[in-house]
Amino acid sequence: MEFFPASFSIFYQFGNAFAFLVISCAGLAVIFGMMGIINLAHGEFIMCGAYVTASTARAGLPLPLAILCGTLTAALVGMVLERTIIRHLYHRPLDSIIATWGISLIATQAVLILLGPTMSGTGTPLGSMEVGERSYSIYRLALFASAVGLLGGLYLLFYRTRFGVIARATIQRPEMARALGVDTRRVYGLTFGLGAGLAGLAGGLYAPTMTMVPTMGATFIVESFVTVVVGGADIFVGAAPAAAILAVIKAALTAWYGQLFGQIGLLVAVIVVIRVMPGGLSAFIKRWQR
Amino acid sequence: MRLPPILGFRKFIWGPQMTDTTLLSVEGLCGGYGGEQVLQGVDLSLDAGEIVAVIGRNGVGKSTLMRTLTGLLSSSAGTIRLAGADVSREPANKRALRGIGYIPQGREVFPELTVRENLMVGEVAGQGRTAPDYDMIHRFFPILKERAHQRAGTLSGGQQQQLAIARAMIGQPSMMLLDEPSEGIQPSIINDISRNVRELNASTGVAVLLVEQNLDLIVSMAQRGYVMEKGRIVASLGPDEIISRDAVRRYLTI
Repeated sequence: MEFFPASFSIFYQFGNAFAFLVISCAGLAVIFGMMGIINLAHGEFIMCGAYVTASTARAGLPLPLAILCGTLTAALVGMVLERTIIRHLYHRPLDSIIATWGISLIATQAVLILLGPTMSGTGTPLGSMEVGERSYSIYRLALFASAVGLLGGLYLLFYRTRFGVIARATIQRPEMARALGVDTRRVYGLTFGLGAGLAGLAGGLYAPTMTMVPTMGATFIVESFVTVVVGGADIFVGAAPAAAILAVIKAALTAWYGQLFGQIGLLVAVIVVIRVMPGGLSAFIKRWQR
Repeated sequence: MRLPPILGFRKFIWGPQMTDTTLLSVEGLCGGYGGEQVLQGVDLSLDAGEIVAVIGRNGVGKSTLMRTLTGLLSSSAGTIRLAGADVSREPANKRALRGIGYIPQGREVFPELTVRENLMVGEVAGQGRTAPDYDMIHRFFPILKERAHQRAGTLSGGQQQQLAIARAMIGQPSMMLLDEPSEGIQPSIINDISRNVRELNASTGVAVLLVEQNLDLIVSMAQRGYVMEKGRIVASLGPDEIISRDAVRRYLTI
């Protein structure tokens, strides 16, 4: 094998794993990092985004617009749930876990009853390209680009906009933010909506590559939780390096030993990380900076 | 000062103790943390442009009073009127928009945010009312311009205190609630802070309600004072008494 095709193959594997980790964890990380809420309905927001994307795409909407529809629908559903349920559980972390788990079960069963055990999806666009003897899906490369764009976009949102500065102030000292005139409930509502929307975006982006079943959210859950746990509470410092490290581990093990070992390696990595750095990568990196 | 247009009508209803210049009037205020009642009926008032000190020993409820005035703690009885409007039931963020600038004990800057970003959050209180005046802030606190992109958590105690005051002032409040500004700050810097607050008061007309234990700071800043004990105001100090170190010391050490 020549050098370029071989290294492209490694990059492709890494990019594929990295994109999946980043895109699937972003919504969970925003909600956990900004609000301290462990959202067990994360997978169902993903499913919501995927279903809306697939059905609007089949109805004739171009895929990017369909993905936008999926994202916005999930964000809207998220904001409604925040206002009706989650808002009342901010100081009760265990109860919020139970509540979001309940939402997750209800959503899965409701979709099963209303839409049946499976829904026809939309095909993967963009076709494939040949490098060396192998062919690669161009859509997977687009997903890698989306993941990088997503990280950049979140950075800009939280570090370069007024909303982002106020949201970060609100996580650090909620009472002080309130005393300065910040409507913290609105900030939390918008943040939860953003997290749900990002989950919807994950569903939308991966909808063309997956089978539409009501339990499809579960496919994302392990990866997203693993990334958030390894990354730690500060999503900007933690999530991107966590996704990069985990992607290397997963891609390498998958390439050499197969899918199963890739998954096992991911879980072993989490156990090692929380044993060595209880606060996750972000706490470790921040201590290093001081 | 911004007074609501119907103030004359309100004055008629509430009688003579409300004057045109009364900015804050507190009557029979009770409250505390959880089930524990700390404030046992506080009465005080603050005129526009005044600097008034609330003095008393540790644990008499001074900080609880400040937090209840901001709305971070809810009151169980009594009224808080701000420029004539009853704000007793309003949430903290609404009260901030009405012109309460809070500078808490321990300063509470946002440690991970830069100095500039801390001030951006302070702008919220003035939104729709005034435009933020960064020239004024930088004239009073030149160090904040110099350190604009430094994280607030890495500033010294005195610099954090300046930032906390600037963060409240950028929203152009009509009054500052200043809680123990001298706490944990070097004596040499305490004088600077006292001078800064007096100058801000003189140039912008912002009223100051000061909670403090540091004798020098009280004597150098306040124009009159209240003595607090066991959740009540038990005495008031006139302009002559508040500048007498002996009189103030007597109340601080009761």
